[in-house]
Amino acid sequence: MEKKTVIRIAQTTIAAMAVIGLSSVLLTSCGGERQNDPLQTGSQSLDAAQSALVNNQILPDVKQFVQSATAFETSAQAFCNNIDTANLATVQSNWKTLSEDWSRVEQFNFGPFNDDLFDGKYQFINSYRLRGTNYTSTVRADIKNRMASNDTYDFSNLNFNLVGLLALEVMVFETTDATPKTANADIVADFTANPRKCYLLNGMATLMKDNAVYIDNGWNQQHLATGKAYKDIYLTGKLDDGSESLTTLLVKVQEHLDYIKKRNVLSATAKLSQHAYANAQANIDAIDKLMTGTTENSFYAYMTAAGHQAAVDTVKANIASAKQALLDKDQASYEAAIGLLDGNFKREIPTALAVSLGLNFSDGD
Amino acid sequence: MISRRHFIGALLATGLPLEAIAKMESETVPNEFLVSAAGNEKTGYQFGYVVTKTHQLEREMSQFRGHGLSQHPLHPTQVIMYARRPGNMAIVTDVLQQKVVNRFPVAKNRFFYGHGCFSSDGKTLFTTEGNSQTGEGKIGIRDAMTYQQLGEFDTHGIGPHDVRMMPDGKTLVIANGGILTRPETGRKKLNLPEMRSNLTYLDVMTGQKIDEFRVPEAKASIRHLDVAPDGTVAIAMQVQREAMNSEGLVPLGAIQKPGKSIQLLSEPERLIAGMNDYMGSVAINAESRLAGFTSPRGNLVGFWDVDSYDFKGYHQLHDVCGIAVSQDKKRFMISNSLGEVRELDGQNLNENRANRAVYPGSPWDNHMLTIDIS
Repeated sequence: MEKKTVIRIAQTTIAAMAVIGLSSVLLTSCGGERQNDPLQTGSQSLDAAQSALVNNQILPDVKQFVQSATAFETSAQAFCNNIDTANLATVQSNWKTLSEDWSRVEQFNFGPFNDDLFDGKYQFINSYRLRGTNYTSTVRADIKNRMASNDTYDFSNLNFNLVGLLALEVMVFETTDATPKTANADIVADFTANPRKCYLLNGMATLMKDNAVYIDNGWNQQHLATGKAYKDIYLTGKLDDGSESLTTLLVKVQEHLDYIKKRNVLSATAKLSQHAYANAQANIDAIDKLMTGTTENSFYAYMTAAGHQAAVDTVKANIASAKQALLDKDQASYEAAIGLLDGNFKREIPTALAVSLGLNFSDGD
Repeated sequence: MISRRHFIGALLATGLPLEAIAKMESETVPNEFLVSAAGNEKTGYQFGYVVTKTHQLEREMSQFRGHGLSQHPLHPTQVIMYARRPGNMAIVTDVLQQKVVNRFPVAKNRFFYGHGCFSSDGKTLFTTEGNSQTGEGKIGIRDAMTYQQLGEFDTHGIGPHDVRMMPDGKTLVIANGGILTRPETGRKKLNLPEMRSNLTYLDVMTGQKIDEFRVPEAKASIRHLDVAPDGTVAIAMQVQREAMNSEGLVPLGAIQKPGKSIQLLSEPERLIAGMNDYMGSVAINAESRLAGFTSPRGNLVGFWDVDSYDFKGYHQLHDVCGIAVSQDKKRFMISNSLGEVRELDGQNLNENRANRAVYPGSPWDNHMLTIDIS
């Protein structure tokens, strides 16, 4: 028999935690540690980096997405009031802006972006994200069916794969002919001949704006029924499901990179608008900004201060490779670089930020 | 350490009414423990156990990362914790004596996969093992008093992970995960292109294969099991996506009724997709007939009715993996690597948030078990 090693630790229930606040004796008996301690490494603080991320990147970029969605809705209405090629060009341009602005925030797929396991808002904006299924044919058929009907719709009740960026793209970048045409003169003629198409366009444009506003409100005003803005919940460091906010951030970015790598996003999305590379550029710029930060308190700075300069260099190199591959229109190299970056978010970055992704998550059996 | 008196005093100081505190006390089974492998490289690996009633945590340092657990039927205060694969040791802890009372190694040229179970009379212990040289799956057979090896059976598959005794007391059900590993290469998967998992039933007296079942997706590794008193088997799987050419959704949970084919739990797709190809543990509540399946890669627990196969609900908890049913069958207990334990109503799955608990120095590993030592 071996010598007994017993460590006794008082358990803390929610109720008892209130007592703990009153009793230093109880507090000291608890011991333990947070998974992601708010370490100070020199002048670098993870909490400050998180705060800068939220206030200087997430919130402004979400706001920008709302503005783009609003601009798209407005231009769609203007186009439908005066259907011509100039107004169509404006709508198309606004779709591209909207799509790029979504690409700047898509990696933050938690909180208001994805607050319902079955009906997360993100999938009503980008249906491809859910399972990597290309619904273009489904959308085309649905638009034709609805154009042939006189029914009115509550667009917020439509299935996720019938709305969002793809549906808007199909409507403004091609005709509804059996063999769709993509010349703007043909698209204008299609809208002129089919007034119902404008009803659908306007309804789906408004739904897009409403979904953008929902996300913005969740971050800035009230998240679900919590009575709190998600930005405040996030910056407490602890989320509803018990996870640390920094852990969630890293996992979600990693999942996003994994999605890009596995789902051929460059060749499968934004095809009609030929805007996939621009979207990818906006996305990698946002991930670069996430790491570089907007103040002296950045994740890179923290990693460097914590002695992980090599990891910083690796991540920077992989981001640079991804950017160069996009400039070169080299999908294979882009996906290879994204794959490496995906690995960085699984290993090097969590290690350098002293984040535990979870024993069971990372090394189950 | 906080005594019961101090604990109740602490609760009173919060302003909780006496009735509520009395209810909290009465809602636990006397002499019920939660037991689990725990710890990490930083804290040291442990066997952790909590007295449900007093919320007192004890830990025994194990010197290895543990995995599955079994309560000794003839010595209910004793729990075996098996080393995680490829493991070579198991320890026996007496939760009343609060010490490790025995330990036993795996046989030469064998390694543990991390799970085991007892014969219905409690006199024999069966453990999932692998042949270090050939990779063949084995069931190690030991005297449950001395832990001396008595023999072994073939599992009729590669990578036997979980094993359970069926209610008839005559049949073992084995999750042959299908993945070949060897001690010298650690956890490296050596046969992904040709891997094939199966669920095998063995005659516990002869070791003869009684039946074998497979699921349609060859790369879905049948890994963990629970068995209801009527012989219903709940199956939790882990998909080896890197060995597949498809990104198509693969069901991760399944139910098998005695004598019937395996029924995959293929809905709801979004929940299954959210589990990211990985279920880590499973437990059946025999009273509510619900099975809970955890996914630490999705921070999710999903619940299905084992008779209708209908999806019944889910709970989100970071890195959740351990799941067990309380001894009174009224609650599911779930745990994670942040040391958290939550209780969900066994019928309606609502969480009793007042009973949230966290044991900060004790990151719970993959599996949790409740035991009653009365």
